[in-house]
Amino acid sequence: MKLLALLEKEWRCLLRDWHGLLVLFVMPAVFILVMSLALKDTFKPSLHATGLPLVYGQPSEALDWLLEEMQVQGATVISERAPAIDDLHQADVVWAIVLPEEFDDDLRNVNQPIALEILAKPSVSMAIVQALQARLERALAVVRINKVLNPQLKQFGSSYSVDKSIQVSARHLVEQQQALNAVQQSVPAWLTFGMFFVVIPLSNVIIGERQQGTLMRLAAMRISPLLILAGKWLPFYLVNLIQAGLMLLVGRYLVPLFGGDTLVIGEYWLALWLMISAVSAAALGLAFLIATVAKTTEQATMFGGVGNILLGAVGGIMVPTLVMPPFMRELAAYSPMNWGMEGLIEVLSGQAQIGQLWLPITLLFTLGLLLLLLASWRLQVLMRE
Amino acid sequence: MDLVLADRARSNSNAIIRLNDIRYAYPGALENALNGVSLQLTPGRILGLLGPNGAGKSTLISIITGMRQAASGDLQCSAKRVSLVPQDFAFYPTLTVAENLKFFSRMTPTAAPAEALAKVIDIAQLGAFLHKPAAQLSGGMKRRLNLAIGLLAEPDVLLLDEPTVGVDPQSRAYLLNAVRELAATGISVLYTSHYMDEVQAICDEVAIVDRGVLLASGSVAELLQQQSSEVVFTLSEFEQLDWSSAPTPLLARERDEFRFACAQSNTISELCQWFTAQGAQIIAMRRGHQHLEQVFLQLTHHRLRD
Repeated sequence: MKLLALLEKEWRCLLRDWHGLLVLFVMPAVFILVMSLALKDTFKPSLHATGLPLVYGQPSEALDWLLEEMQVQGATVISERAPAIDDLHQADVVWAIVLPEEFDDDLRNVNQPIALEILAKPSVSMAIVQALQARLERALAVVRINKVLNPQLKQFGSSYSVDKSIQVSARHLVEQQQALNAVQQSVPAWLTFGMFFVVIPLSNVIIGERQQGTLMRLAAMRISPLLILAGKWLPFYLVNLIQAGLMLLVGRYLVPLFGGDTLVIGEYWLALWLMISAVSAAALGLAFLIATVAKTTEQATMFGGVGNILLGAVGGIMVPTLVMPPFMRELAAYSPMNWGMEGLIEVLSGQAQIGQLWLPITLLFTLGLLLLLLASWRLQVLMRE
Repeated sequence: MDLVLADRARSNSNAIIRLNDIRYAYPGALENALNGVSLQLTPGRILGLLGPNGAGKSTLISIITGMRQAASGDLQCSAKRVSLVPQDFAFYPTLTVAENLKFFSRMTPTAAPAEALAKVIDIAQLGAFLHKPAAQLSGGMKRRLNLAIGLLAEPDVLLLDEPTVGVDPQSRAYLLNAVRELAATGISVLYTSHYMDEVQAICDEVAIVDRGVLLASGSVAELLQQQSSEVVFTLSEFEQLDWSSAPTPLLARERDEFRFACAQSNTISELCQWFTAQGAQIIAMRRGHQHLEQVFLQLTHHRLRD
C-alpha cells in the first residue's frame, strides 16, 4: 500500500520534471544518430566516400582506360605542375593519383613496371588508402590484360578475363548474425551511457527531498529507507526501459533515414531485456549512491556527469574498443559501461543468448545491488540528520 | 545574579510524553547535544520549547519522534501517534495540494481515512486550493499545507517546529488560533519558535534549553516572575532624588518607571527606605520581566550564536 503510494507519487513528480526527462531521452538519441553516421566508415570503409581523385599526369588513352576501369568520371587532370596539397583543397578532393611521365608507354609495355603513387589527405584512414591502392592495382592489371594482352592473345584465338577468373569476397567470421557496424556499436554504447545518466534527475529528486524536508517527514512517519528507495527504483527502472525502447527505435528507423545503417535487433528478447535490466540496476545503484553522498544538486551533477564521462571514455562508449590500444582495451574491461555495452552488442547482433551473457549480467546486477545497499545505509544516516 | 535554574520536570500523572535526564551526543562530537534534559508533554496543553540555534531543540524533537535514540535517560510515551510538522515546507512542490495530502495520508501508519483528510482540509482552509500545485501557493498557504499534512495522522502529540516562519500577520494569527484550537481538542503540542511574543501568547508552559541543558521551565507567568532579579518601581515626586546616593544603581528609566537589579532581597527594602527618605512616593512596584524575550536573553546570554 505504502509502496504503491510512493510509486504513484514518484511517477507524478517524474512526469512533471521535463528537463530531467529531456536529458534522459534526447541526449542518447542525438548521440546515437550522430555517432552512427560519423563512425559509419570506421566500421565499413567506403571507397565511394573518398569521391573523385585528382590526377597528375598527361591525358592519354591509357589514362582514359584506367579511369573507365575504376568507374571514375569527371576527374580533374593536372598536367602542367607537380602535386601540391593546395590543389586537393581547391578541388575539394581527398586523394590524388600521380602518374609516371611515360604512363601510356609503360602501360602498353607489359614487361615494363609501372610506378603510380596515391596521395591522400590526413583525414583519410590508412585502411581506405590501402583499399584505394588495391583498387588501382587491380584496375591497372585489368586494363593491361584487356587492352594490351588480350588483343595480342586474340591472334592466337585466345583471351583472358580477370573479372571471371579472380573472385575474392570478404565477410566477418559470423554465421547468420549481424556484423558490427556503426549503428550496432552506437546504439548499445549510447544507450548504456544514457541509462547511466539517470543520476541527474534521480539525484535532483533525492537532494530536493532532503532540502525540502520531505525525507525527514517520511522518516518521522517511520518509512524505511529501503521502501523509499524501492519507491524510486521502480519508476526510474521504467524510465530506463522506455529509454532502451526509444533508442532501439532510433537505431532501427531514424538512423537509416539519415543514410546510416539499420539496427538489427535480433530475436533474443529475453536476453535483451535481462541485459537492459542489468545495466539499469547498475546505473540506478550508482545514481542512488551519488544522490545520497552529494550534498547539493551541483555536486551530484558534477560527480554523476564527470563520473559517467570517465566510465564511458574508459569503457569504449566514446571511442570503440576495437580502435583502442591493448592497454586501454584491458582497462575498458573494468568499466561497468563496457560490460553493459559489450553485452548489448552481442545480444543485438545475435552472437549471444542468456547462457553466454551470464557474466556481464551477474556483474551488473551484483554491482547494482551493492551500490543500492550502500545508498540505503547512507539514506538512513541522512534521514536521521 | 542568583538565577534559579529550574529542572522543573514536575511529576505529572497526566503526561503523555515524559523525558527524564535525556542525553545525546552526535558521533565524533566533543560535547553532548543534550545533557540531561527532562520535560513532559501534557494532553491539551502547549509547551513552548525555546533555545538559540544549536541549543538542542531539533535533537530533542528527533528523539521524541523516534528518529534518534537517546544515549541515556528515560523516554516514556503513551501517545498513539506523534506527528512532526517540520520548519521546512516538507511536501512536494510539483504535486498539487490534493496530491500531497493524499500521498501523505497514505504514508501515515494506519492510512488516514477520508474523513480525516476532509477534516484537515477544513482546519487548514485549503479547500479552494486543492488543485493548485504546491509550488504556486503563497507562504501562508504553504504553512497551512505543512500543518495539514502533520494533522493527517490524527496525532495526540503534535511537534511544531517554527510553524509561522515567513508568513504574513493574518496567516500567523490564523495558524496560532488553529494551534490553540487543536490543543483545546486534547492534542498535546510542542511548539518551537524564535518569536517570543507568539510563544508568550499561546503556550501554557515554556522550556528554555541552551547547549543541551534545560535552563528553565514552567508557565510563562512563572518564568517572567522567577527568572528575574529586576524590580520596577513606579514613582511620583522623584525629581529631587539624588541618584548618586542610591543603595543600588539604576538600570533603566522609562517615564516614571525605574528599573533596578535586586539580586539580594534586602536591596528592595533599602530602596524603599531610600525613596521615602528622599521624599519620593512609591506608586507601584513589580518584580520580574514583562516579556519572555528578556527572560530568554537573560538565561541564554546575549552573544551571537551563528
